[in-house]
Formats: sequence, structure tokens, C-alpha cells
Amino acid sequence: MHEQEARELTGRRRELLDILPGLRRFALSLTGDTGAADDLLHATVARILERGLPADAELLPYCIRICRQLWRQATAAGELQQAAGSDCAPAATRTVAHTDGRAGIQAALSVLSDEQRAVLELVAVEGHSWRTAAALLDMPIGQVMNRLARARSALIRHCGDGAQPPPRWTARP
Amino acid sequence: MNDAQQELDDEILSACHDGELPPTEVEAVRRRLAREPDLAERLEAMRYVDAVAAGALRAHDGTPVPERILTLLERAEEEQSQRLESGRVVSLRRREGGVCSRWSAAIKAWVAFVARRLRERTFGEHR
Repeated sequence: MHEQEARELTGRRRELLDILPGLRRFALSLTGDTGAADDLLHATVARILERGLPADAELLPYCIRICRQLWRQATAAGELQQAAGSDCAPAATRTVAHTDGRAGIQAALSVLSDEQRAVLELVAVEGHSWRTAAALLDMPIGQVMNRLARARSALIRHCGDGAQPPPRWTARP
Repeated sequence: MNDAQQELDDEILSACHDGELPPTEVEAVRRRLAREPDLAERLEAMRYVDAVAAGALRAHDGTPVPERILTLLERAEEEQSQRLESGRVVSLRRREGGVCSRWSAAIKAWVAFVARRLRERTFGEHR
């Protein structure tokens, strides 16, 4: 019995270690700042260890849910929090810090709402299908489709409004 | 093109880009892409911004996960292993009635601290 429990423990820890890089990118998609992303990742892991895993929970969706909950808690105070359920936070209302020298790219991402960035990260970066992304974010697949389209549209608009719009979008690295 | 039509086209192009178009629509979209250069360029633009986003979010993949996080996991495993050895079996899985370790209060305080630090760092709130 103890051996089995010990194996389960080690296995769970390995599973968690395996998903950490992806979870870290997901945290970065929410925070827009690498330091804050690592803090959010730390808080997420701590919360998971604190609460344990529900018996029927799959690890990745559970971790993503905790990560989003903590991010919402962290951003809940004040007028900077975008309206609940809103999908399109105006760029001017977002003040995500950019400290890593990639201000241009990060600024482009900062025009998106948290939900748009979360969907874009899961589909465009992690390569999940729409169905999986919908399950991970606990939202209807139609919302995934809509948020992705809006996210991409906003990024195109933002990049196109730049000082040096790329000719046919392919010349920039 | 009006906004509603643009939004609809963006959803179709997104689906096309992600391989999520229903098989019955693939051919129709291909035909449109062939005869509408603006639409084809829009699809190209989507590919470009995806690459930009992926580049931004993967920019730190090469940097290791902070030691403090790995240490947290190691400590949790050590602690639970000790519990197993001493016969006080506590699984990482959640049990009835809540948390799984005696250091939960410390972690709770720590989570609150990090949440506060996140607020301060991200939104410049110093409370």
C-alpha cells in the first residue's frame, strides 16, 4: 500500500514537472512579464500542493484552472480589471509591465484580453485543438473560435499600425 | 467589407489556419482564397502574428524553471514520503475535508504574498 502510494506520489510529481514549461508559458500569456509569470507559476504549484488533486481531476486542466483563478485574484482589485466576461479590453486600459526588452512583441500581445491570450497560447503555441482548448479553459468551442479570431485580428491590426509594417507580413523575423 | 463580415471571415480563416474547418467547407474556402487576394493575405497575416505570439511566449523556454519552484515540489514529496514511512499516509490526491499537509497554512500565506506581489509588480499598486 505504502509502495503504491509512494509510486503515485513520484509519478504525480513527474507529471507536474513535465507540464511546468507549458504552464509557465501559459502564465506568461496571462501576465505579459516573465518575473510575474514565474511568481504566478510558483503560486499555482503552491496552491496545488496545498489543496491536493481532486480524485477525478486531470492534471493539466486542473493546473490551468488554478493558474487562471490566481491570476484573476491577483488582478481583481481596482479599475484595471477588465469587466467580467469582456473579451475586448481596450489597449489603453491595460498596463501590463514589460521588462524583458521585447517591448514590441509584448506590447502587441498586451492589446489582447487575458482570455484571448489564454486561447491563443493554448492553440497557437501549445498546438492544442479547439476542442482541447475549450475543455482546458472550460468554455464552449464557439467561444474559443471567436476569441482566437478576435485575438488574431487585434494582433494584425496592431502590427499593421506599427511604424514599419512588414511587407505582406513575411519579411520580419 | 463591414465589421460583421470581417469577423466572420476571420473566424473562417482561423479555422482554416488551425485545421479546424469542417471537411465540407474546406474546398469552398480554398476556392475563395484562390480568387480573393485580400483574403489570402489575411490568412498569411494570421500565420505571421501566430509566429510572433509564439516567439514572444517561447522566448524564455531556454531559461530553467526557477529553483524555488522545483524546491517546493521536492519538499512536498519529501514530506509526504516521510508521512508514508511513518504510517501516516497522505496522498497528493485531495481527501475529504480539504488540504493535504500540515504546512498548508504556510503555503496559504505564501500564496497570498505572491498574489500581492503580482498585483504590485504588474499594476504598480503598492499597498
